[in-house]
Amino acid sequence: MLRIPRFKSWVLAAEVDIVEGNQFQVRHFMPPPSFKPELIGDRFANHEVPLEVLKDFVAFEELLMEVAKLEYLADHPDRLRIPKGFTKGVELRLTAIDEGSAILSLVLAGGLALADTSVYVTRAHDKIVDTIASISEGGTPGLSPDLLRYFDRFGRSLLEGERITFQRAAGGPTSLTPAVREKLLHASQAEEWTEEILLKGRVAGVIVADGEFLLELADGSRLRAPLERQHTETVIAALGEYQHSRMLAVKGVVRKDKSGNLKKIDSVEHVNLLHPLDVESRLEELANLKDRWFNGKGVALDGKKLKVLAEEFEKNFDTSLPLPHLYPTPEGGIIGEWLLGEWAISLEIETMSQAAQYEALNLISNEPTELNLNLNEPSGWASLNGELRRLNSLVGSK
Amino acid sequence: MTEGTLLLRQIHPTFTQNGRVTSQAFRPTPKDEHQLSVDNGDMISPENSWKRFSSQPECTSSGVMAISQHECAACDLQVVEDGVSYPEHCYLDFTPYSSN
Repeated sequence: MLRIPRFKSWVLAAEVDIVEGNQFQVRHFMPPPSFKPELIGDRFANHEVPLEVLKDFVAFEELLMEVAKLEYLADHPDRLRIPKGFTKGVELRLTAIDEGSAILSLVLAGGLALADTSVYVTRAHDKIVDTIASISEGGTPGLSPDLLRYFDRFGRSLLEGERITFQRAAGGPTSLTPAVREKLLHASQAEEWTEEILLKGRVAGVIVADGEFLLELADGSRLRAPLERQHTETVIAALGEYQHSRMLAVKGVVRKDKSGNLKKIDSVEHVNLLHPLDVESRLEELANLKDRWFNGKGVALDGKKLKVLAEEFEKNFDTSLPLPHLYPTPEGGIIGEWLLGEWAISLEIETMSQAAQYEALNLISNEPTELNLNLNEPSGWASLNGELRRLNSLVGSK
Repeated sequence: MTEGTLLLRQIHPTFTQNGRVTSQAFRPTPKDEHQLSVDNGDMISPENSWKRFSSQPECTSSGVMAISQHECAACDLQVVEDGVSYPEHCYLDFTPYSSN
């Protein structure tokens, strides 16, 4: 026998009061509130939203409900507390991702409480959005410090260059960006808050009794991090190679103070033991060199240029080839070196222009091969890959 | 100085990666004016050479490597014992070669 499906929740369209006999009046007839925040940034192109960003909207929903309760109490000063069941079963639901960078279609859904609650949730939404607008324009927030602390989680997953744009009830749109979020958190008077972050460092120790490990960053500072069972093997492997500066990439949530100093790692989502010659990590390390780094001489390397070089390397370098050892040059450049059989290969890169000089020297015959390459162009990388593949195949054939 | 004399060279920490030293360690920079400083290993031990170097302001070394006088001769590199600014100081003269 087919069972009649039971709905777990529903949206109230109308509530009817019987007035007298067969007379009645409809008290409410309104669509449930809906909100359409727009996510703008590379990750949201093609109307896509990473799941980790959706986590932020759980915090947004909690903030929305808390502000709605306060709005209700403001309207009912005679009441000490909100009615029982005011938000029971009421929740925000994602019903669609609309066209735009990525526009979330959020609808308030719930049980019988919805009709009363929806008015206050709509007001709460407007108040939150007005607070974001006010803070971004240098004004004061319309929410109390306690409520502003919800921005610890709401907006945390935004990367630089990304934003969430809201339509205001009155006035133009306003956006939550990482910088605006930081202002909101400063206004919350919180001593510390959290960020989602990818950190790289050496594992300097494991504290078994506390279930933690110590991640040592490039500046020598050490952060405690929880050691999850599924990460233990990788973390221990990194610890064993501490002396060889083997780097561990840790993705998780880090706690920082008002000055931006990292205090500890609250949670770890993912760990990855990096290759000993990981190019991005090595270039990040070399970007820390200051002027006069080489025994009182030596030019500092340009961090932005090194970042571009790391991205180009990731995009263009043939992954089947051995990675180079990378060193700084006292003139502010980078030199990559390979030893493939009897061939000593160097690639000296002028980081400002990405012009590179390739030289492969046969250590037996002293026969050199020299090329000028432009690593701004895919053709430059193709030539590099081609030459390295050729010499690598000679090694394999001997 | 004999063929077997080791010429000591300080290695900057950034000139090693994963245990391997860059070829730059034995190459003069443009500011060196084609003269690569080394210490005469017959006159000073690697340890004392490291201590003397590391005691200078802004100078750091993660270790000492050496090249033999014989190897320099094989490459037609002249070793000049100038004793400036300390007795065991020498330099390898790259003047006949380009900066590379």
